[in-house]
Amino acid sequence: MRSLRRLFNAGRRAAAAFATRRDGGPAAEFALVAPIFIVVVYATAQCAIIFICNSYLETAAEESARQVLTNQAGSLSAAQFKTAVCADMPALFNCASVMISLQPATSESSINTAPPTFNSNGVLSSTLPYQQPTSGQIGVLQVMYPWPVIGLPLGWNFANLGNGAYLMTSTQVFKVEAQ
Amino acid sequence: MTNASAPISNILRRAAHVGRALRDDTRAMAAVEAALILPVALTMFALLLYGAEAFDAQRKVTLTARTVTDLITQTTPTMVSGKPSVPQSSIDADLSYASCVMTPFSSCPTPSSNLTMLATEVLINSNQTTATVQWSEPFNGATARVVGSTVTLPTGLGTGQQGNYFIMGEVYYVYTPLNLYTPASVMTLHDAIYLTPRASASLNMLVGQ
Repeated sequence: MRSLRRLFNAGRRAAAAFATRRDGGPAAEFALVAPIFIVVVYATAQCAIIFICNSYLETAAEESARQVLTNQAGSLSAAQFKTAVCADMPALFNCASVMISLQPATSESSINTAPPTFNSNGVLSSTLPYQQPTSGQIGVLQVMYPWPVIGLPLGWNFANLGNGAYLMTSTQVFKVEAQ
Repeated sequence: MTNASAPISNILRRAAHVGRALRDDTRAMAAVEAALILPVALTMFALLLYGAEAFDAQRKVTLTARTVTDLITQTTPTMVSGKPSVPQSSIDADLSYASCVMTPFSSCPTPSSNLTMLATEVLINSNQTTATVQWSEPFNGATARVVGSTVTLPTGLGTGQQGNYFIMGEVYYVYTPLNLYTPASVMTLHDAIYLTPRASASLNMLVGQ
């Protein structure tokens, strides 16, 4: 009984000492401001990465469109063409996630540029067109990439797709040259 | 005189005391530092966001202008009353196809209202710095250039080109930045690309066809 009271008193003294302690204040303050700070720094970095990769995607799409319009890609299957597109992309991209849509534009209303849809597991559920335009036809090439983003606290999230990714799109329109 | 100066020296002494107290007060340093750096960090983030998106949109504006000019100049003309001609509907279709390049800033094939385009044929004047509008086709609510009006060419473009025809593709995109932290104003991004017709010296537009 006596030892229990001694223990209790010791505990009370320790609590009182803790409450009046002054050192460690900056660490406690940092713990309070750190979440806001980290969110801002992380959001800045994420925005910069998305911007750079968007620019890479645009360049890769321009180069692939040139392959189609110069009749260098006519015999390629959808998978082979995707590999050719990936060859123009830096290693930051995962080739399996790259989405390609290629179609000839025969009339203004026939172009299908509806954004791709994904199922709940983040797998592409819509069928993207793949048809090589022939000489003299106008081709529409879309290269898309779902860039994975990590949602942040305080409601900051760059994702514009249901599966927590930011969809990058580059569209190229060109007239296929004579063979 | 001494009576009047006494309160002032008192005030000064008290102010010096407060100043020392503030200087020696090391409490809440981390919070003060965070409060100082946070506006800078937020401004950097906001500027990066506007800059990156505007840069991306401007790159697509230039590519759209190049695309529409490229499509029109590659059209194979038909001879109508001695002039190589293309129907107006063909030029409208080219403008519509090219507008798809702006995706996702504009929808496709029905463009957003903040994207307007213009295809114009110009004849380079003998002064080699200006050109005269031959025809002008607007897209999505743009105002056509008046036929016979003068266009000032970019420096050096018209040198040695007098009497030649150029197709000028113009794109205007009204970009509204995300209004986050720092107020940002609406920008009109614009670019114009000039190309010569490929299959003939000039391209006459057949209005209403």
